Amino acid sequence: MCDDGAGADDDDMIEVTNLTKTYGTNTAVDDLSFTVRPGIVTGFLGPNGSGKSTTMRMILGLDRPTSGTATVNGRTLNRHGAPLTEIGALLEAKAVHPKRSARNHLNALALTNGIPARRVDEVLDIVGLTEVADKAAGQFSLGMGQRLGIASALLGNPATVMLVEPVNGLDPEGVLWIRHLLRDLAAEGRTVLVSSHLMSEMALTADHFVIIGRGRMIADVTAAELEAMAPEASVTVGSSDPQRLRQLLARDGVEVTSTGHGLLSVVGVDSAEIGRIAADHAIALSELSNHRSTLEETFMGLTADAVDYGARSLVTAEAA
Amino acid sequence: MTTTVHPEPTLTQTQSDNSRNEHPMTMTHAIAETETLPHPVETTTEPIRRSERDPGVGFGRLIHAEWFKFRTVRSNMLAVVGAGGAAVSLGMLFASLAETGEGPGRLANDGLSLSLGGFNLSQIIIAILGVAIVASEYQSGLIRSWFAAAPSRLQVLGAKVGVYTAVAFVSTAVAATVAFLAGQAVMPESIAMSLTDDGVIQALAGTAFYAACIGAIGVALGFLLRSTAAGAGVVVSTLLIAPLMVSLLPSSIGDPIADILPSNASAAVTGMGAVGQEVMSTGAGIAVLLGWVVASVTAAAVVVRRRDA
Repeated sequence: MCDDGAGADDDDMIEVTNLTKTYGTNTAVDDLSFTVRPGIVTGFLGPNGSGKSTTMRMILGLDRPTSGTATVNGRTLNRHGAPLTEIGALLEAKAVHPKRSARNHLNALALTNGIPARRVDEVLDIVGLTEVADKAAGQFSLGMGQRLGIASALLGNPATVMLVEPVNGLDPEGVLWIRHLLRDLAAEGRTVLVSSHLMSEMALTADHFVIIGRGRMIADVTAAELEAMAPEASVTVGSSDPQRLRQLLARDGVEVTSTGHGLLSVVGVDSAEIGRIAADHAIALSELSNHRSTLEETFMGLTADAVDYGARSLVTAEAA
Repeated sequence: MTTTVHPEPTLTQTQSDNSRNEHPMTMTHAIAETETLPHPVETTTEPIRRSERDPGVGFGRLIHAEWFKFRTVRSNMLAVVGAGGAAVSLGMLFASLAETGEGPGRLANDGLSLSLGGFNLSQIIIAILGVAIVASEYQSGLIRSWFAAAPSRLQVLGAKVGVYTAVAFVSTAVAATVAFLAGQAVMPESIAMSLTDDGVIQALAGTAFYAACIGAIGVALGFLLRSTAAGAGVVVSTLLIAPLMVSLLPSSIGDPIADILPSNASAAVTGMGAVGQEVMSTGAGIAVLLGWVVASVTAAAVVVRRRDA
């Protein structure tokens, strides 16, 4: 390399091209194409069973694509001499022998790629496991297991980092730590891909979003673009006479829906106008609140059709 | 509130006059927020490294890493020492009981086979441990991290087979020698033998060779079945139950089957058969055992390459 080993390259990225994976008649990943760029945190989102994990396993060369390619820093992973120095991945917490110490787990991985032993001490320090490094990993809590997984992802000081559900099982301090870690890794010029089914968490860290459902691309957008996709703001109205108010509000461009318990959700009229109409007709209001969609609701809206394992709301179930 | 003091990155002083160490991105905001964080968020002390300068993953490194993994789980070492210890103790027990005057039991011809009788047990332990070191990695998910670090699955398979075969061979060779010497020491002098007697070296080497073969087969079964329980079932069925079942068959059917069972080949390579047992030649025994090793490792290689990890 002309840059003599230092710094990130322009081709330090993950490129997924027409990636497809089928199991019998079931298509887990369906013609997916996207690029994960360096210097930013990319959130990889989708409901459970949407194909996130299968995609990430194909990026790591663990699952063979039915068609299409997934490359890391310009090549498929098996074409790299020392894969750990190209991409570090956390696939599942506690993917360790329960009787082996955390330090020896990392030492064993380091030996495969010729990574110096002092780097093991460094990553243990980064994730805060130095004090328990010589304990058997089987005694670790889920959160400590996640930290150990992150330590192994950082072991090769890779230009690309890929983490599956990294905040799973972490306490609030740990969640905060992960947020900063992800931002710092991106700020150092690394390519960072983080999968999650928790939009609320990703909204705080990701600059770019790849959202899939049932294996297909739903959105490949920046954070700003995702915000712009939010549904129109609505107003929730509680009143003494919801049926009459509903008639009064009904006109072109206004959408009124009943959300149960006498509440109305109104789109197309602002709260001041609703208050005025109610006052003019002597309807007492018990609630009048503006509601702007969160990224989470935008995400839910985008993926609503792609949820494999939908559950019915208890309220709806009781009413039925 | 305590502040964490970070050691300055070692490159700071030399950075200006050594442009190759310059890294465009620094960790400025991380340091500023250290106070509120449970742990320092400094991620690296060196620039992102490129792999071109290092030969990367190779078979030698995988051998080293597999041996490291094996010896850093205490229960593995205990199982190996336990298998040897059990064989030595049982051999001594059999040897000392030979003094009752009834003579050795049906399965032993002499002081040699008496003192090595305990290996019937330890070989089962060796085979099951071979299954377990692989199956446990499938069960925990470690195998996926491992394949992501070392994408050549055939090299990973080869390293595991190689390391464990060597462990089985060396540990069994030592244990067999100790068992032989200890056994002779406690048995009646009338049947005791010495290391230089005919067949003794072949018996010791054959016992170690047999252990190495079933160790390799155990590792292959671990890749094929990915479950310690299933693998242990196959090991016990093949090594212990199959010979009994075959002996229930008419000899025209049973004998050819018995000839290809690992247990009978064991009698051939060690030169120690039961009283009245017809044993094939040493060469044929070696061929049968190697045939099992090649078949099971080849099957594992095909499966591990094809299958999603």
